Amino acid sequence: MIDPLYVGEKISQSASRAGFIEHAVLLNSVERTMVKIANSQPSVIQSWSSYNASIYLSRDEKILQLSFDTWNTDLIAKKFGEISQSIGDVEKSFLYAPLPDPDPSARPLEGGYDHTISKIMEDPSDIAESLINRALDEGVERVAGVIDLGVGERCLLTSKGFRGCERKTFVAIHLRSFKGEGSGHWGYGSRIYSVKDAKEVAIRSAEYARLSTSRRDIEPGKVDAILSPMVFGELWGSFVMGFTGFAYIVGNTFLKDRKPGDRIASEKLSVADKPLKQDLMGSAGFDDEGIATRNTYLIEKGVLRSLLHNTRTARYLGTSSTGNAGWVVPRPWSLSIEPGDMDEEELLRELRRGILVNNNWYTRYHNFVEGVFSTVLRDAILVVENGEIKGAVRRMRIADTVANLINNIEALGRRVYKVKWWEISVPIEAPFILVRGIRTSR
Amino acid sequence: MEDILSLAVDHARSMGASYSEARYHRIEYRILTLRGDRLVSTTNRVSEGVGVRVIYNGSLAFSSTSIIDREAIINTTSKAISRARTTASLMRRKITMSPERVGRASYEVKPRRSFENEALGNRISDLRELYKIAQSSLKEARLSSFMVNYIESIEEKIIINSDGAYIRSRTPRIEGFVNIVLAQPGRGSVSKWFEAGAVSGLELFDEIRLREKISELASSMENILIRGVSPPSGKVDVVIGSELVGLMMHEGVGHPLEADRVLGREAAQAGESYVKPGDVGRLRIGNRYANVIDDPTIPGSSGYYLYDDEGVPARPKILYREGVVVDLLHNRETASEMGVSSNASSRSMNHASEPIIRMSNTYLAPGEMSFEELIEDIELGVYIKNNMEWNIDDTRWQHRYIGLEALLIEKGELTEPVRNPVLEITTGEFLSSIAGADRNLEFFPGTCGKGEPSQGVPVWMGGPNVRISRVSLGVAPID
Repeated sequence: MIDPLYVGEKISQSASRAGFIEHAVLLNSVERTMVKIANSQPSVIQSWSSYNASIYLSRDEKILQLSFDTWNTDLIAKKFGEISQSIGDVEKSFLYAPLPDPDPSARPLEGGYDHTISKIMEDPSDIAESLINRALDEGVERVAGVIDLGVGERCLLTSKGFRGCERKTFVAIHLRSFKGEGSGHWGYGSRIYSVKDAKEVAIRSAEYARLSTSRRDIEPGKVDAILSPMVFGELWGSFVMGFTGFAYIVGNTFLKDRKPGDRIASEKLSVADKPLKQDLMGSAGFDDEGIATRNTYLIEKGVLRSLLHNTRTARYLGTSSTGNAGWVVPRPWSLSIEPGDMDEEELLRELRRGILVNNNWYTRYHNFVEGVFSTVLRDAILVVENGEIKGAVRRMRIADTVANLINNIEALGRRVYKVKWWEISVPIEAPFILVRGIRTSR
Repeated sequence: MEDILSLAVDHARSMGASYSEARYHRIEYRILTLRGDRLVSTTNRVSEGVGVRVIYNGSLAFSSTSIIDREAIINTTSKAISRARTTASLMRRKITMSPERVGRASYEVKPRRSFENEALGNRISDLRELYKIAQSSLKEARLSSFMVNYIESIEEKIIINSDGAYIRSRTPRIEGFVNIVLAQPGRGSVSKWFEAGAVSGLELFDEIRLREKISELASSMENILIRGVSPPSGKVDVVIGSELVGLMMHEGVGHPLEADRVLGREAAQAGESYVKPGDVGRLRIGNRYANVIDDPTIPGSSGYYLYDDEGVPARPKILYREGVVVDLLHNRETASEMGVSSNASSRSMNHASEPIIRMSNTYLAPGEMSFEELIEDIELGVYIKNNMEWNIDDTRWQHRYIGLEALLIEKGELTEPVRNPVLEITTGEFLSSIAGADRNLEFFPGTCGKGEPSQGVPVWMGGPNVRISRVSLGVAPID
């Protein structure tokens, strides 16, 4: 075993010798195994042993970042030497701020490590077989998806004296089931493996496939809809980038003319970044500057509460870090949409007439400043009449604005799901959400 | 390095693999990020390691390591075999590779102006100047956001496999992104990501007229923001610019003709295809203008290579000829399953990525008209030069694009700017309603995403300006 703190100290010494007195070294190591499934059998089993060293260097208020897929300290020291030679070409960064002093409250977060995951990684075939068979037993014709498992360690050293390491595991499973013209998709991701949640992925994906076998076209227009946690999970992967201090500073966000305290969404909506929730896939105890992470409301009861900051963006905007470094662009850890008070049957009855959307992909913006976007709905788009599911729709998009979508939320389910799949970039837990008057197109 | 790769290939064979392959893959990047004319940060990144792929008892496994020594390579290869062994019992259909004549070759793209020979400060100065150029091109609108991301890289690969392939390559590459946002009180804002890219050294700065393009784009965006009108209602003729045509060919022709998608391997990720395995040579969905090619051998193109990552010699592939599906994009696995030969479409993003079927440079063949001839008899129509928002469903049939630079065509002349025209069209409607194409074949760079974990690889997309008949345009929602 290579001791990451020993490697980090060597890199730190090399950085100082090259004249970069101010620096931070982030070392990530991951053992990861992924079974990819197609046509109800594995299409490939992939495994990685990866060692990444990311380094922040600063001299004379210039900002340099380096990333190496190796812990070869000689190679890294050589690169410091080369960079030191050319630093005269680089100018001061307007975003420069000194690295913070060690935060006494920053410490590794307990509870994000599951010993069973490393055992399953040695032979994930039993889980693959049981999930494939479970979906097929539910009456679908074929199934595709991914079982992704990993064990990792993240260590940070800063020139201000911070030293910290945390070991984490993760599991992410998603399955797409097919039956006739119908398909359903579900996924979950967590630090902790759960047999129940894994089975639910197979059962829900199969259920949505069965419910959507008979599809028809409907005319696009304004519709009322229940969006599944998969849909909000995908959408918030891009929405949240508008909440970073960096996007705000460069003026490329739909929040450009907003400030904390402004009402920006339905009062039913509360969204937080929750790094301290141990079982969410992005949980962490300290950020990339050694600041203690904390749970931060982005939106609380419809009101904009905070952007996400590192020391640099916070100083530029005259506020404090929220523990979300990213050395240049702050990053969300794990998002959490707070639940409402309805079970899913009640949500259907509340909807009365509209659609229930299982999944979506391919969200693209015409203009991020105005929040104009569209996203392609896929898998089960179920027609709801009189509070009951009555068939499915063939093809549809949401073509609307961020503001409209988050302002027209009327009700939320009481159960949150930790969803993750290929299109969900930021780990999230979310409930089913009822939104009125969504603009759709073909 | 060759010794270590051979060790992996031989070790896998000695453990019972029917196929083995080892790839050393190194990419060194330098990234500059600017806001306006001020540098935010510089980033250096080195991605280096070895990826090993094996087939054991019909089960395919991939494993990678960034530690490059004999012990790590043996462990990585053993892990691939051991993982393949665990899933072999679940294989209802065994995976095999098509027999191919693989290459033994070495090639290198030599830039005229190499990255290492010129001071970094010159690149920073050139990029800083873009902001001033954009600003000086505006008369009324405010430049509310201007970001530049510049990426230069050198990619080196050595590929050895158990069928005798040996391919060594070295490729320099530039990718540049400029985000321009203009605002005007009462008129909202317009936004565009401009992208430039090629397999090239620093000579690209001179060749693509970057300064002129940024100036023209800023002026054009201002015109749209301040004077843009809604698109005409009802069905009109639409002329689609090369940039958008290229994107449509990439999304609506290239992706659905990837044989792994057709066979369901990407079903839970980017999806499947409107093309079924039996459609090759039979399915006609376009007219005589629908001739689409994917060609990795175009010198200087972002998707350039001479051998794919399975060692098969590259060649142009005709995807559609006069509206008929002629060929799918194949690697050796899909070729074997469909009983054909690979056409060298296998690529990987980096050492930690399995090789999968990828497009290279995908384009619609040009026609013979001039642009003026293309529009001369249009009474009322719209020219959509390029777009911002776009997406497509996961069988690659139903497209949506919102035009950015767009102009009204009246009595055969380009007149007023048009704001936010929405084109929603199926692949079939587009390919069967092409009424003419001009001879201006132009390419645009992009990063194509596929696979899990997701792999982004550089491509070009291109085509001529194309006229399609009788299309209804929508307008984007603005609150």
